[in-house]
Amino acid sequence: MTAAFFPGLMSAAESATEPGLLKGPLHDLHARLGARFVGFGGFEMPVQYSSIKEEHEAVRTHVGLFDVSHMSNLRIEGPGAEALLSRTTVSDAAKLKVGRGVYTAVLRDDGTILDDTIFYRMADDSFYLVPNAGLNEAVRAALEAHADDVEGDVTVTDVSRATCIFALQGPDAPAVLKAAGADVPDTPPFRIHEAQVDGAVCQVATTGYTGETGYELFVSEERGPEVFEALLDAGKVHGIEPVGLGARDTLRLEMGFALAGNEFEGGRTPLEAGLGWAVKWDHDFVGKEALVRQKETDDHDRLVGLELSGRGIARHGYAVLDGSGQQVGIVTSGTLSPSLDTAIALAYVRPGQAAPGTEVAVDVRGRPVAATVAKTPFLKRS
Amino acid sequence: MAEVPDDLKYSRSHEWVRVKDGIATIGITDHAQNELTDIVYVELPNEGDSFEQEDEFGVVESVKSVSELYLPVTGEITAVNTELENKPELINESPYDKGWLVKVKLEDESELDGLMTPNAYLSLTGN
Repeated sequence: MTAAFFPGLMSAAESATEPGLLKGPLHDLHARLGARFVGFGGFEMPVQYSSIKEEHEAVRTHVGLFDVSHMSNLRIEGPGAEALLSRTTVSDAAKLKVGRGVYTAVLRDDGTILDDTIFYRMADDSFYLVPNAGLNEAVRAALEAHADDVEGDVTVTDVSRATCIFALQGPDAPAVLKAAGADVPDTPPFRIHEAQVDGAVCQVATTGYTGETGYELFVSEERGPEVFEALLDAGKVHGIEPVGLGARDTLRLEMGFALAGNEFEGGRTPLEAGLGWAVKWDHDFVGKEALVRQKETDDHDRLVGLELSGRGIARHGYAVLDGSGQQVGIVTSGTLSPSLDTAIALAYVRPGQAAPGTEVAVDVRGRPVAATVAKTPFLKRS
Repeated sequence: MAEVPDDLKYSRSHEWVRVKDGIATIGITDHAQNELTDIVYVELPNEGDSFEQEDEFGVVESVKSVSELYLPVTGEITAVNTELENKPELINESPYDKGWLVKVKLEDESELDGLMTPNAYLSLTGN
């Protein structure tokens, strides 16, 4: 038996031999909690504690806690911060009020996605941007390259290593946060508040990557471990479980959320990735020209959901076939959905194959397995 | 600690072999199922298919990985554990019994001598 692990989820054996993997500030704590580790974005992170299915179920039915400190943190500050973010992302930072965040993308000149990210407005001249793991330097460079284009001074500071990020997710997340002593008002998604957990100052955002109610907490590296433990303690009565990257992947996939390393691999634009809704067209931004051209020709691949009806699981890199066996696309992520007990996948397909209900097949190791293009999220919420 | 029964032979690629009356029953080890965790899908050959030693004869998939299975002995498949089609988790729950994969009619019993003893397998897996 030889195992092939999927992109982003390197096997423990591989990661153990990869030099230079960073251990986050909670590494020892995770080990005590029974974590198995994988290499991800340059860090050795927990892939699972009990079992991916169990952790997935905990988040869907009650509550789970993730350490996602491998993600990056940039502070963009100064009178030119707003203009710089408008120039280097697909969002219009001028429209963002203090205390709010927006999902966005940083593009290359050719319109392809360098990273998808959220930025928050902390004060008039101060923003907080959360690039994906391992992309802090690339995103910072992309921002700094345009610092001279905008009026007003602006500094970009990388605080990735000084910051822990935890995601508290699931229907019981609000009760757990409250029990941990944090006074956070009941607000819609994409708000950010300052609150204290166990006496430690945290920035608490109403965001996540699971489709459930929940929060992402930003706290200093020094106070991180105790805050993580305080949240686990507060969640005990709710049956909280620590959750690894394995379940994080199945949870996001059921919602049809893109994972940077998978869905943007090889250079994909927001239009191809189904993120056109995030693009604000009435401002100038890096990559806009290429994007406008692509929008006009409208002949690009599209990221779609696939539900497999035959036996088999579609995996990253598998070909999508039409009725005559011709390749019309490629799978970027796939798994067996723990909530639906169905094989689901995200795939780029040619425009003619992208309508929901289109019958295709996935080449599973030489065997065509029937699949249907499906609307995402796969998991329909009431 | 992973279980390694005394009465079996083992391959480096984590399959086990139980021989009775010229028929070898094949599965994956407790160590392997524990490493893979939650097995969600199994693909096995058909009865009557023939394989050489170390040929790939199927795959097991967990939530996060696909793993190829290699036949530790040469021979014809005489039985397939069809129960795994709907209950792949049997491999996790009972790797040496209900989670067996295939039975093979042994062509060359001397191949068994090249497989690992329980002790050798224990030291391979670091127990």
